[in-house]
Amino acid sequence: MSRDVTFIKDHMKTIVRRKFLLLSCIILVCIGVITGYAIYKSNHELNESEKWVRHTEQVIYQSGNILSLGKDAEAASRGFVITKDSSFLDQLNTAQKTTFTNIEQLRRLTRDNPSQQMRIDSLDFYIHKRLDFSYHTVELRSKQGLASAIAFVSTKQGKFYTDRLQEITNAIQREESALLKQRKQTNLISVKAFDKFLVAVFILMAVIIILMVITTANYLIQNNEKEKRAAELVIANRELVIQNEEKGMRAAELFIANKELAFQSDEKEKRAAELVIANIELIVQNDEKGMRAAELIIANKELAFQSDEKEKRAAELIIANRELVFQNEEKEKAGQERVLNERRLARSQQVAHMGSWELDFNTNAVLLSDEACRIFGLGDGQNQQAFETWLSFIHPDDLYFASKTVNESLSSLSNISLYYRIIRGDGSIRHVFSESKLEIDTDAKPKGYYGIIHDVTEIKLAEEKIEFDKNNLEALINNTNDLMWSVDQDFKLITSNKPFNEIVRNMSGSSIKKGSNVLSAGFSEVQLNRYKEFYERAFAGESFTEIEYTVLPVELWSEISYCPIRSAENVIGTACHSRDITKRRLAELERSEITNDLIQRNKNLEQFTYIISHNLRAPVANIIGIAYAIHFKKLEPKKEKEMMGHLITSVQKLDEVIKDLNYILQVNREVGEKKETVRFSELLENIQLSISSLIRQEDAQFITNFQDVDQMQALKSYLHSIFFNLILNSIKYKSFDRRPVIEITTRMRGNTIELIFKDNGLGIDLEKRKDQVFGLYKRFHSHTEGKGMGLFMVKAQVESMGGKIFIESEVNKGTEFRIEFEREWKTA
Amino acid sequence: MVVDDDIINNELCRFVIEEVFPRADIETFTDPGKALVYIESTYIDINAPDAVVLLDINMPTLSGWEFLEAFEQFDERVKEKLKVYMLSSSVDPLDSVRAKSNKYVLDYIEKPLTSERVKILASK
Repeated sequence: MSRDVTFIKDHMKTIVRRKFLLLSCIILVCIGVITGYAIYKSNHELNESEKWVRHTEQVIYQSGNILSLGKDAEAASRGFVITKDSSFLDQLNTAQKTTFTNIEQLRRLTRDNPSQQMRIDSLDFYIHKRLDFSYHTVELRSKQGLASAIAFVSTKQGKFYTDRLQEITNAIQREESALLKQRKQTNLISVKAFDKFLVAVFILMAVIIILMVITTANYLIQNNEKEKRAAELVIANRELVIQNEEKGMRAAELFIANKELAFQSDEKEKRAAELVIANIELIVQNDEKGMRAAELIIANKELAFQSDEKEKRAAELIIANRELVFQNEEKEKAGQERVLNERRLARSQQVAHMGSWELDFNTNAVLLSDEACRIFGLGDGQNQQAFETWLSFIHPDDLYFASKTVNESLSSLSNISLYYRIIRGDGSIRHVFSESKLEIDTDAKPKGYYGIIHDVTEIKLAEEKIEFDKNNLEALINNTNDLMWSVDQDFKLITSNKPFNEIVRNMSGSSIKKGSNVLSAGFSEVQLNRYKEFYERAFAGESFTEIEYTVLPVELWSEISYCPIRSAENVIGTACHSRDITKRRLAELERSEITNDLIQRNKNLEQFTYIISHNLRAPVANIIGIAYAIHFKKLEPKKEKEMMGHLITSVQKLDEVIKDLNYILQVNREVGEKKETVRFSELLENIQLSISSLIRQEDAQFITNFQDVDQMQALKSYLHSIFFNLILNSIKYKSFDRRPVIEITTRMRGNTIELIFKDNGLGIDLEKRKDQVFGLYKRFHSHTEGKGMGLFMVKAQVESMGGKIFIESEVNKGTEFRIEFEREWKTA
Repeated sequence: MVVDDDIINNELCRFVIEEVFPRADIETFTDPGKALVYIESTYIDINAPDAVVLLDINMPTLSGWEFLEAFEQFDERVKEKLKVYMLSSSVDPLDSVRAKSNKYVLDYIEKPLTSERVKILASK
């Protein structure tokens, strides 16, 4: 699995690398292009700057030219003035001729520059002026003489013009130089920028090239490693193949060894038969030796009458005889041993209920061992039987199969294995198992069969009994809905009945088999530990019962009994029995619920009677007191009137209590009559209307939510009383520092209608008062009117409608009453 | 002092007591809470005279037993000055036993209060 992951990773890496290489190439190409363009650009720039340098030079040159022209003119005219040499006039003419072209050239050069153009105009103007001045000077010299020429020159006009020319030329040159400098600056900046860019580009290229190199190197290295790994895998595969071959060879060897063992047992049987034959031979030999011994004794007697040599010989012969006798004894012993071995064989056959037999093809007779005879119910000495006799013993139902098998084997000369029944001479039936092999003589021709016959009757009967017991057990344990199962010391299942298997299948999704672990099937951790503990208690020898409660898949109570299974004195497992006692349990629970309910009601009644009796007695006591006072004392009329007043009040109070009593008792009786559909929202509106002034006075606010359910089947008067009492309480017992807010909400919860009354009033200390909240004539605050009956009535009415009421409250925070009704109204 | 939520009873007691002791100082309380407050504040004063408390059992806001529990918490000096008797309309023997077994209650009196009873009280 990890190899696959590695492979995928490698593959991914390769793809990533290739993409990277491709990307790098593309980037390099782009960079090249950009660089080429940049180089072109910079070249262009250089060219441009060169051009501008030349341009500036030219401007300077040309302007210098014009200046020198001016100066030439000055010099020429000066020369002429001094020398009156006409060669100076040539110079002046030349100057004039070239002036125009120079000016034009200069103008052309500074086409773009308006300020320069203006200067050139000035230059033009002044040069012409200068030339004119020179010409005029010359003219004066030639026509009017030196003095007037000198006088003209002394006006310094010419010098002025030349100075101006100088100035303008300077200005022009300065501007051009400035321009040039400016352009050089910009050039420099762009060159510098370009340098920086080049540097950056080169660095980037270097980085990319390095990365490419690294990537390629990595890739090559990895390829190397992959090849190495592939080679290793090939070698490992070859090794596996070799190992498999060896295993094959070893299996073949084992098979051959098995065959050899079979043959060895054959040979042992052969040797047993040979021993029998050898015994007979030895007996014959013994007879012969006996005869020879007798002959020797006669010969000795004849020789007894001869000389010492014959006596010696006789003595020698006697010794020889003794030796022979001794040897005979030895041989007899050997013979007896062989007989003993034969007997042992026979005995072992007897013990094993296994007899041996031989069938001779020549005689078609069967030779049975003694045990084989016994198996067939034949007496001693009947070892020799005909083949047909053997057939006649076979049970008629098995005869067809047996003779068929035998015939097939005979025709194919193969070995026979056969289960069949025989009927003995006395009519008893025995189950036998017979196994036989072909006997081949020295010429490799089949001689007969030899084999064993095993009486397996007891075994068969035992098997049948086991089968019967098993079926019996199956029937017994499956004849119930209870779960029955047994577990061994390793928590493995021994036996289980159908109901148990069903449950396990339902809980864990799969069937549990014999021998699988019972602590695995679909239980939680906690449950498993508990069951484990139970089993261990049983393994320790304890018999006990436990009650289990589960909720899945359905609510179920079970009584499980554990009983250890003993074998001799040891516990080898535990038998478990689980009975479904859900009904019983539920009945018990219901009964205890009913009992509790009755006890509670009884308590209520007792309390009720106590309260009532006290509230009855109190006014009566007062009446007695007042009566005594009136009757036995002398009273002022005012006092007497007062007392009468008290008397009336007390009597009325007594009457009221009796009326209350009646009213309370009526609640339980009125059920079942006048059930109607009551709408909560309507009810609330009515109540709000009836106490509208109180609501206004106390500034009470109502928040209602009847969205979930707005109606139910109920006694309208009770529901009205409930709503009224709760609302009134919320207003009466409002908090002093906030306006009363009453929230009335209804909810549907499954089959239950919930009514919730929540207020933000004074609250009740439930720790102290929980038992008294719904008590009769119980009040916790005395600052308002009230008898203490409101909540008592509410509870009584709720309960008579089959509902329940709950309270939650916190002092100074508020109180919440929650009333639950079943949707289908049950009578309480 | 008479502590009972029943006004009529209180009036009756006042009448009966006044018959026997015309100059008696009688305070009646229908709210046992207020009575407790009064007791605590008044009788802490060392100069306050001794007094008798007639206490009812069944009162809506605070029962006589609860009153006694609160009373037990008071200062010894306060408790010394007061003789408490339970005065109730209840004929339940359990109430009588419970009252008499309380160490602060001197006796249990059945309503209505009679002048004979008052005389007996005063003599103790």
